[in-house]
Amino acid sequence: MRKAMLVLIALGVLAIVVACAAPTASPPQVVKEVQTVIVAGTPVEKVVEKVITATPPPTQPPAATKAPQPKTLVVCMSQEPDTLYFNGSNMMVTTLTLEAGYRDGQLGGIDQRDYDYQPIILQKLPSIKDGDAKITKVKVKAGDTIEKDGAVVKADKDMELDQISATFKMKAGLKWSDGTVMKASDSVFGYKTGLDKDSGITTRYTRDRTASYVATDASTTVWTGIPGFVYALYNTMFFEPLPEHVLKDIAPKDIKASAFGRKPVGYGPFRVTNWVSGDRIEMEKNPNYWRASEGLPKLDRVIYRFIPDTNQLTAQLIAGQCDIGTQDALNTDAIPFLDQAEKNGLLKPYYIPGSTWEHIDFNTQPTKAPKPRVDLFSDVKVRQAIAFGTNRKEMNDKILFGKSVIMDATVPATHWAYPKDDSQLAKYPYDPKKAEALLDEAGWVKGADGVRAKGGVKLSATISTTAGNKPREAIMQIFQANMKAIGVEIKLDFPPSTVLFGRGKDSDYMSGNFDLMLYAWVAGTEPTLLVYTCDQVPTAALTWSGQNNTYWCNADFDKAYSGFNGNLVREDRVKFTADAYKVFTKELPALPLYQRVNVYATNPRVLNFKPNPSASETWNIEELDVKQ
Amino acid sequence: MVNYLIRRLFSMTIVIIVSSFLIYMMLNLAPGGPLWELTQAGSSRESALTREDYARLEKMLGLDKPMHLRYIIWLAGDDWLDGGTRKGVIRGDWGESWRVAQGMSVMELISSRIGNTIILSGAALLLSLIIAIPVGIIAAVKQYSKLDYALTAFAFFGVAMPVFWFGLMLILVFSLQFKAWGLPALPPGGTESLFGPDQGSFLDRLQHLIMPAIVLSLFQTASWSRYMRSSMLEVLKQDYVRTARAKGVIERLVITKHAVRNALIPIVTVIVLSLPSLFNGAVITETIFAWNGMGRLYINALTRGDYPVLMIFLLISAILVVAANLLADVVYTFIDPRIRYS
Repeated sequence: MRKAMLVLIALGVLAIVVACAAPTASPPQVVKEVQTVIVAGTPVEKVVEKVITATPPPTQPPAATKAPQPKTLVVCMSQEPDTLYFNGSNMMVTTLTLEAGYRDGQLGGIDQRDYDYQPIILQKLPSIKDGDAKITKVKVKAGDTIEKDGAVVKADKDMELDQISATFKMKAGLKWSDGTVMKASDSVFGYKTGLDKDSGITTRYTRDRTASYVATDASTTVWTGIPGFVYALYNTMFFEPLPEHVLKDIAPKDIKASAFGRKPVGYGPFRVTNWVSGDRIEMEKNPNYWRASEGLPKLDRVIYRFIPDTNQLTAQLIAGQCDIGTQDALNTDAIPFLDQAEKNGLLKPYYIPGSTWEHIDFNTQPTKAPKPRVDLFSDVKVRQAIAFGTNRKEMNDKILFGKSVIMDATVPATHWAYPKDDSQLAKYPYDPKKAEALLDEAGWVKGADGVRAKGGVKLSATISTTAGNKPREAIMQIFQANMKAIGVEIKLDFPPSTVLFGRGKDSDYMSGNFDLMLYAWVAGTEPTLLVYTCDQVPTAALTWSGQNNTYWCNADFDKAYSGFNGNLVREDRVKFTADAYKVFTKELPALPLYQRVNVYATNPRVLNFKPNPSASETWNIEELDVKQ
Repeated sequence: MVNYLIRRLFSMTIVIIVSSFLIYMMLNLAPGGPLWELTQAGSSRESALTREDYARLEKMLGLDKPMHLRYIIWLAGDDWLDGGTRKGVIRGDWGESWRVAQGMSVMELISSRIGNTIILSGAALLLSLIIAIPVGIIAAVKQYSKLDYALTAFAFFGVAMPVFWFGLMLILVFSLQFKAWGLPALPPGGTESLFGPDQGSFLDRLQHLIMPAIVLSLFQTASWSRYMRSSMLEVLKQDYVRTARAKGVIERLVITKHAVRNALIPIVTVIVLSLPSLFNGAVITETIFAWNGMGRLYINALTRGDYPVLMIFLLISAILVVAANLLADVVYTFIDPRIRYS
């Protein structure tokens, strides 16, 4: 008996340890109670509660009222930025964090909303029409640096080429967060820093194509491209400023490791005060923000937290510990749960069809791959049949809960590059009968096992997509069932993304070793056209680095693309995209499926949250506010 | 004993060097790597990485050199080789993170997480010990009683329960439902509150610790209690226990002095071998509860190809595993005088 007692005592000790934690939880609970009131925001009842708490304990409330709580917003995202030195990172969460803690405008002084650009710290975006950008004919000598067919090369002979220059005027009153006035020379400094070979900058596309970038006075910069570089985005060639007075004595390769890498002196609405590695970045209002006189930013503090698990993040949102859940942290499979939580008044979800779009690539030249494959999809009729036989509406309804939009071309229908009159585009509504007719026409006849065959070859293809992506796995299953109905056998293949997108070896998927491939492209301000041109077809000479994974090469499409690419006037460019999409939708090297849905959720107390498909969710962080 | 220790330390060193070499090779041969995500940038000319860009970034990270040379540089530095600045791991230069926290030294990065991991894993270890050993003893002493069956059922529950699901349920009940019912609720995750007067205080941190520690200790508690039970049953059948009883020693002393002490010997091995988890952390528990520890750092570094961080993490893990094995053997001699090493 006694031994049992002893053991029970030991157990009791544990019980005490656990129990101790619970009562000790009660003192701060008083404060927590106050927070719940703010969070829940159900007005009448909660106000009564406040009155009750205020009367009995006279000591506690005065302390709370003396120091008004600073207005704090907590943004929760799945990943942690790797640095806040913008030249060194291409993570989405870095962009998101920089928009509060370093810069103003997603691209550094320029915003990118509705698939277009808006000036933020610039007076305007230059345009050829207004005269602050111009194209001039220049004489080029042999050996000069020029752009030819998309590449930077030395001119092989004397010639005359177009050269663009653009003038950018910064707004008045811009300051760095340490109070120093921001000058045009800071933008030039930003440009020059990125030229250093050890700057860590990922791509130098625009820098390589810049002939000169200079400050002509304290607030004006002039960009001049290399001859032959006809660039539609010339109006964005304002390089993001870096504070020269802070960084002039630091070598470009050492900036990341310096204090600037994690606590930058910036020009955004907030400035970083504390970065708890692995957990959160804390920021406070930047008193030197150039719009401070307008009462911006409205918040006193912003905290960016890193929570890799979606369930945890949702729990934190409901518990009031997170105010905004970002798109990288929330997935479409959470939609039913989020809708339910919204009904209960716990949070507010947002579903925006975004700029990332899924598509199925056909291998149109499988016999030319280094490891030749059976030719199934070089015949356009087969590709069209697959398109008619694919129930994209079912995919949207079942997997994305009807929140997305089916796509006909390689840009969303709301994009400026989408033809105004889209009647010229071939469209593929779900029509299995038409699909079967097309396959019959192409000579693929149904066998006894229900699978079509032609000349002893079965119409049996493997579709490959990245492992571990739930929506894609579900899409593939619907696709497999759809295809079975029209006599096409589909096998599913889920390699890790490092394998699917790996390049350099003959055996790689990207070297043509696939039948069908499901993945996504991101539509920017410029429509996704380049990746279907002939010169992007991966070849051994390029170590298979081209991006046209369909191996489709069409002269009409290329002609429309080069017309589009070589033109700077948007009204004219749309005509070329209409031509390009006419060819693309008829030939169908890839079947566009739908826009991926960006899922965001906020606590109901968050105000002014306005997500946009082509901007980050906190693009207007200076205007965000919380109910108190 | 001294001879034995010297021999063991020598073989440990060899094991660690060989394993570090193998780890280095395997990391570097796996698909992906630190530059992989940059190559996936996008479909536009501006964001696509050219071969020149790739070569420039490779050179910056030193990835342009052959793999065996890179290993030597990582181990012994390159200041003696080609006038570089690296001193190498054996001279205390752990390098800088490439991707997780660019430019931050690996030492700093690890020290920012290790504290949290020691707290969580330590608490879980302690909790497991406090529960598992008494539970095992009771179950053995009261073999086939109702209590024994109840404790066995608990052990099966603990072993079978998936950590991620159990954690989720705890969050759902103790954070969200309790809050909805107006009861004092536990925070759903994190290591401390973000605001409020008690932010970062001991009590605040303790509140955040309760659920993850329980989840993490559940499996260990359950399995250790089974070890303890069977070890205890074994000992209780021994002649010396019968002799003690025959001599008229009271039952409490038979259990505590004669049985438990001997029954603990195999348990100690199990416990000591689990000590490296104090450094390694627990990936799933840390992720579910947004606990900023080593497990999450490891997974993050692994998915993003941050070799310097991974190498140090795996190296230290290897050292700890080897050291824990040695420790278990040494501890044996103390608790069991019959064992002698020479």
